[in-house]
Amino acid sequence: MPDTHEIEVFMRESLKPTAEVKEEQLDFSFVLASSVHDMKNSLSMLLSSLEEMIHDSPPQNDEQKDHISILQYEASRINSELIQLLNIYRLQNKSLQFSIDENYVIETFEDQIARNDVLFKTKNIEVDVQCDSELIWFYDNELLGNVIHNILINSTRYAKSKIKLTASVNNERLSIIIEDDGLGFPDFMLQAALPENNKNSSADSTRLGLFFAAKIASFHRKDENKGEIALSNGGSLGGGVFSIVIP
Amino acid sequence: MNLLAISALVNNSLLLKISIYLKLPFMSSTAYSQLHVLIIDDFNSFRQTLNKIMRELGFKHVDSVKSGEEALKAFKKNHYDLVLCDYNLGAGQNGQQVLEELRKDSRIKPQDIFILISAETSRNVVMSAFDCEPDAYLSKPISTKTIEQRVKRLLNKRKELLDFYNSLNKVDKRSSIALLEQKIVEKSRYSMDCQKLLTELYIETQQFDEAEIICRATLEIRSLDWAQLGLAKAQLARGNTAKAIEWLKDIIRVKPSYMNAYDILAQAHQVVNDDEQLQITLEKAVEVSPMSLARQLSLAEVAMENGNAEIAANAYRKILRYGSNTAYFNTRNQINFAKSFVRFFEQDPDKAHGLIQDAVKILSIVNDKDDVMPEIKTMAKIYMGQMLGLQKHYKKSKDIINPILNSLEKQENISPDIEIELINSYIFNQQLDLANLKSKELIKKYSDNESVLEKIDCLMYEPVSVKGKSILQKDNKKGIDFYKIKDNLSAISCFSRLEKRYPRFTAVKLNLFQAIMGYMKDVGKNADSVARCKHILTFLKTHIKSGDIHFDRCQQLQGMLSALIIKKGDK
Repeated sequence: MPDTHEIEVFMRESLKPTAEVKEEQLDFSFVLASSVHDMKNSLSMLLSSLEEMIHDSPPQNDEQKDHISILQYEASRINSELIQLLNIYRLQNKSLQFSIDENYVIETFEDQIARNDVLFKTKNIEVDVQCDSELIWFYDNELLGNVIHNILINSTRYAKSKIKLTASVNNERLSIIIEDDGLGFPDFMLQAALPENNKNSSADSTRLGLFFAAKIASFHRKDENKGEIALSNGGSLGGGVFSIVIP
Repeated sequence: MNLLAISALVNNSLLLKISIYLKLPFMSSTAYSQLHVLIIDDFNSFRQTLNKIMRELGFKHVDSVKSGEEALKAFKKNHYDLVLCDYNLGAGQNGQQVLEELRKDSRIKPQDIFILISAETSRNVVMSAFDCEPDAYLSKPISTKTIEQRVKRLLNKRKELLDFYNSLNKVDKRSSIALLEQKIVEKSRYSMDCQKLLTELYIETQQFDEAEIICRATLEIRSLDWAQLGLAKAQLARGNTAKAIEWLKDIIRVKPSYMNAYDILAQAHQVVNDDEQLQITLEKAVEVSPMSLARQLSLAEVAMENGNAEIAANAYRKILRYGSNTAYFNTRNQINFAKSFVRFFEQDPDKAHGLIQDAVKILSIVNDKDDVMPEIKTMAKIYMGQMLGLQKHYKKSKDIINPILNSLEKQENISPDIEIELINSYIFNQQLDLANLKSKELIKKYSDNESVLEKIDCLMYEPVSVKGKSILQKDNKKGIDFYKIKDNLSAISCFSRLEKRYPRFTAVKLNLFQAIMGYMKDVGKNADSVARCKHILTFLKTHIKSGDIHFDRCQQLQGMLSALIIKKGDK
């Protein structure tokens, strides 16, 4: 015999909340996400004005150049963190869309390098790319792009003058390595990047970044294999080495 | 081309090609000087910046405008090869709506490039929500380098695929296919795009085996959406609709945001005339992406056909709201919104109450517009009269309807739609005898016009059209069969669907009443069911007079309901 719940559902089916009703039920995380979105837009304006300013009146001396590079770096960093926050919000809300497609790895690299072009120039950083221009792999270009973007901004802060991006395929896995010639990651960060530690996203923003990168990596699966990230020191430039592997 | 060769090609182009590092050859900037560029942005400074960047890249013909309206005007005068458009254009159309309008009228061709620029972080958030995709999506902040790089990349692709686009524009599918096959053989950088395009063309030209081979070869390497969808499309085109539906549902289950899959699933339901499943599919699709006006419109139309006035009214309302600056804000959709609203109000006045203001506003827009056909204006007035009648403002309603009747008296060819809606107005104004008289006249007048008779069914206590009779017979029997085996819930849902479609069929109302009573007998009485029975009874008492064949049964059911209400405590 059908229970009363079913008839309730039947009688009230048309009362199901519509998208608009949902929109009205505001909660704090929603408000926060909306204002993060607004902040990000303001920063976008700030960054484009800055780019134009540098283009129209280039810095006259080293001191000016340093100030501009700080402005550029800090604004980019906040911007990239806000994007990350929004993605984590979407992840939690299950509205983060994930779409695997074939991509030329070199284009993903070029996109992210172009995105930070002004930052590299003002900081005098040379970016070296080691990637077969024909290399194709399967991933979500936007999400992986955001991970790379985030790492590039972080490396800019610690690199002395060089960043290197390398892509290669080993054992049917795409491996992307981002290295710099800085002092390398401190111990606590190397610890935080270990697989057993990036399950919980603690409030620390660096760890949040790693948590997000690990999450995006793990979304990429093939058969039994899952993507992963790793941090180490040394590498070919002697500084920090971030790697992400996508099956 | 033989199948094995195609399979080998696909595998080859998908496998990694470790070749010598080859710097991408860019189109020379002298070639850019021939191309026409349009910049659309409401911010003057951004327009200037983009203009400067494009000129530095070597473009000589660069126009810029500040709104969607100006962009559409510019396209009437010139053709543009490349468009850079901001998503948020202030008041008026947004960038996506500009693109949709340009594509709809084919003012922008497949080879033309449309780049959408937006402050939204996620491409998917914006894109999946609409009907068609731009060639590239850039999110702010954008560096000069990013624009340069993207424009160069897209123009290179355009150059490489230009001969294909040209043959496509000439609707020469055979040579389009040959060109794509050749690109894949030559291991073009755009082989992936070519494979997707080729799959589409193979299906269009009924070369299903070839289409399936490309999709299968792709799926062997990776489970990609487009290849799965391609297989389902091929099944649908082969006529294996049931299998296509099964596969499409699987695709949607795994990836609920894949809008193309909903569109193909909707097509599949249309093929087998399954209006109910079509409505369900479209409801899910617009829940995922409410901004897609094309889908909202399909939903509104099928829901209206199914008698689901609430869903239809809400869909039309969204079309008019989200599409207020588009071609969707037209008289047809405005009138249909009013029509579906009136039906909704008739079915459930409490729930429909919140839409009254919108409906009144839309009707006055139609009424105040100068270039509207007189017949449409008459229709708008009739709906206004019906709304007043339903709210029991009978005098006000008649003040609107009577002048229409006077003016129509002198007219000869009155459309049956107007005649039907006038009868509805009599019913809402409680002039039932007049309504019955006019209905009989109408049936006589259109006795040999099945499509008008089908519309008249909605006014009648029993069907007069062939289709109405057959649907009533079939679905009523289905409901009775459920009732007989004591599956009262299925019986209720069966009769409810019929009631929505034919709101006045007496037999359906009586059966629905009985099924709900049967249900309460099983599980105890509940407020909703009692309220629903009372609602039906009010209708029956107004419309069934003593002497009617259903009168006795109606009395009997009323007795049953009273007995149930008086009975204390639940089972």
